[in-house]
Amino acid sequence: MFLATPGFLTPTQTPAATYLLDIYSGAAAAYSVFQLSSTATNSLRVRRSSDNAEQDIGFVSDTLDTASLLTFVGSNDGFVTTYYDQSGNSSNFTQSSASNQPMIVNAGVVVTSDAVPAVKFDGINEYLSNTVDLFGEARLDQFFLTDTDGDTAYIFPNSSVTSYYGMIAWSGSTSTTTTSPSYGSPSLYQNGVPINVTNRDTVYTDTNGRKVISHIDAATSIWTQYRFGFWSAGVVNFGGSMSALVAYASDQSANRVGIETILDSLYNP
Amino acid sequence: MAYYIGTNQECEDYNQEVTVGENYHGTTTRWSDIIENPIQVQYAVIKNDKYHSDMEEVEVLPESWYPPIPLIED
Repeated sequence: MFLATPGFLTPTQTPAATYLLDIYSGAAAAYSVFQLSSTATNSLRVRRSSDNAEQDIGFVSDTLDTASLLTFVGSNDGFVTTYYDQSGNSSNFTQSSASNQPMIVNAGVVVTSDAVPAVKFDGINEYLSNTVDLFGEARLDQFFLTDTDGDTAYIFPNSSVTSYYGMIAWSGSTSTTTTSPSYGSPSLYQNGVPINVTNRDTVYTDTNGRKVISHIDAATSIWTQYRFGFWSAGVVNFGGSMSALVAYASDQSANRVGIETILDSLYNP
Repeated sequence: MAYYIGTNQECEDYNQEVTVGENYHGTTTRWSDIIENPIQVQYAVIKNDKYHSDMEEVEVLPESWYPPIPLIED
């Protein structure tokens, strides 16, 4: 992907940037089962259920090293303790509580969205949080690869306070509150197309399923934590998978289509 | 998935029992988050089937544990 034709470059030439974060630099944080930066080495840290040992899992051919993952986890379950930040800012997505960790291996089988490895959230208790960055931002442009997997009501992202949340999608809800005031007034896109934000039902209609979702010009100024997955006891926690989240604390309007195009090509090779 | 409902201390004690029993190490430091009822002083912890408690057990957290309705259905 995005690699120059082998042998095309002479030894004296500098290879063109080939990874998303090399092309569109300056991300505040980036998490993915795909390698997004030439300098990234690990995608996930995984806890196996058999003995609670943990191991970092890197990349093979620019995608999560599923062979090493399965060798480590075996026929048991594997849970994500850390979604490593590939931006170079060490702003990892983490979960230190075992029962709140999202899943990457289910009974010896790598969790996938279509054929792509996917970090799976149960829609009940599982979440990852960033306590280093992504909150307290006057502007946050975010790009997600999500698969809602049948969930009909969900919020993402959110803070640790229930009144601070991002987009709400809810099948059948005519409520016109589709984001909390704390999130600003972002422009939302699905697969590059503006999302209809008439009410929560139309947001659901536009975002459910397996998509590239973009939140452009959101704000987390008064948030004290940035989470993905669990929001609160109830029905609107995110149930499904997330294969990438790339966030910039700067205006990426001019780069939006380019970033979405690269993420889409990874998600739908 | 089931939950135990009790005081904050009871939930923390149960959490600690499971954490020690399971020997978590590395970046995993405990069994579960403690869930606080947003309306009344009440706490819950996810049940681990290997560890019993005398606290009240429920299969799912009832609606009384949900955030105020206007927030999620306004």
